[in-house]
Amino acid sequence: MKHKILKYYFCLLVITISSCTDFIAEKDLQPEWEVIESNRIVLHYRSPGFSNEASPTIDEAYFILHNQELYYRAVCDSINRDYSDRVLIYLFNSDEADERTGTASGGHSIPKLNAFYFSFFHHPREYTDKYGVEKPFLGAHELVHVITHQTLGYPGTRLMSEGYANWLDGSYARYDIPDIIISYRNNNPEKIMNPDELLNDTDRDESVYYPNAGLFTGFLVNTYGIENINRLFNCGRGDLISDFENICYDSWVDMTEKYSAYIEDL
Amino acid sequence: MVNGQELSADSSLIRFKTGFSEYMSYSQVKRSFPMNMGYPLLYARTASLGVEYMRQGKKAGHIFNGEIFIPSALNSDNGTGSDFLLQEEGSYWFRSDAGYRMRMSLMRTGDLRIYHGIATGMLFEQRKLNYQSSDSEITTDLNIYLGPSLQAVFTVNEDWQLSGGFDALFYLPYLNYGKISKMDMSANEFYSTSYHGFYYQTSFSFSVRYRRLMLTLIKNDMAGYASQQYGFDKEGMVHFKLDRICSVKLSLEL
Repeated sequence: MKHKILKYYFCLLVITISSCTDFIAEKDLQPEWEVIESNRIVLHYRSPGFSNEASPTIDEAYFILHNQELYYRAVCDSINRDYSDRVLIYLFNSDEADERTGTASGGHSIPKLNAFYFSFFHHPREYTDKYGVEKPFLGAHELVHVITHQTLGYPGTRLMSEGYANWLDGSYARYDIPDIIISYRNNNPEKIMNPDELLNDTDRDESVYYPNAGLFTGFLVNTYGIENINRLFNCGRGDLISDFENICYDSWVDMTEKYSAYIEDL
Repeated sequence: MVNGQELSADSSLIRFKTGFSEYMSYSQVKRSFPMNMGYPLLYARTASLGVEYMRQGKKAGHIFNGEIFIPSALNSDNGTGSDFLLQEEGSYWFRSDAGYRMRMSLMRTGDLRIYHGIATGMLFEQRKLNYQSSDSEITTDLNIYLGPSLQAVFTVNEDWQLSGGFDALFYLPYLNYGKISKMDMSANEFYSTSYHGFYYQTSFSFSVRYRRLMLTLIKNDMAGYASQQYGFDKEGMVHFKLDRICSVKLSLEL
């Protein structure tokens, strides 16, 4: 009898486990896109009236397309890599973005498929990014993820992955990264992260981690050269310090002191 | 995949299979659970050949099976029917599988019989993405899987039988090995690393058997990710799977 009960429990367990795929992933194919292309970018966006929130107008769509072309060239030049595959951008309207992509503002990338997803909405705050683009709808952050992963290989640490994206985008939440760090230094010094923390304490809130990672990566590139820092992009957390010292001919401790002085001088 | 066969103890049978499958690999449009699978997607269509040997013991049936998919061209779809990612030439997908299944009777009522058991095996999969720039990425997986299995068999009459089943298979990073390589347009490798996958796979099947012939429909879903280090940490993730393979197979029993 006990044997029989165990068998039925087993049966129930298998049924539960096998139905778990619905809790893991479900198909959400979204074929309704307007598509415009340039040399390096394919922009998918919603047609007017698609949802309750605004879709990009055709002028706004071309504005985004041209800006992303600009960022594409700037990123390739900055990391000294040639890249020519087209990047696919999917712009979701703000009222559907959270359900479709998991984030109501911002987005994420799938570098392996040369794609990223972003939420489209009109920002209330005026802002001009480091490339001189006024009021960009989306910056270079996700594009950097695609290009760096495809030209340098996959990042071994969150530091390198988000460091490059924030350095090359230059902003977080439409504030310039140096200004954010200056504000933290002056008003919230506990939000300044040193290199050890950037390498190991990767669960810090995004508003703290991203600007710190971006500033630090920019410092490394300016101090040690882009090719040396590119070589650190794939290093795992356990190897990054030793590889840094071998590649950049400087000790991690000395570099940390230099970085600390750099922040003080900002 | 085991499908309806009543054997007496110490008897055996061999079954040869041929089939047609569609492979779809989706993008993670939403990465938090439940994930949304969407565009752009990769797809391939191919034929497969397989063999199955089944031996019935006193208490359990033992099924050994092997299958190989013909290497097939890989394409992508952005959502509007265009392929902005891949060159069809040079992009391919290949898979082969060798497995063992043990099944035992769970219950019997009238002409309906339910079996339970375990499934295990080794899966080899290779995929090459030849991007339009001629940069490329190759991933090669050699994975061991293990999981529970359930099957229901309904005997209509002497000639006809219906059956259905599902497996829930786990691929643990400690038992798996993969390698990813990225090459530039001159075929120079600029990045390469090993990885260890943590995947979960479900397989649903439905079969109709007439005498020695059997037609089977299978839906096979696989989800998970692979990192450079052993374990479940996502830092250093280099590969992911959000795959679905739909197959139709015809088997002939000897």
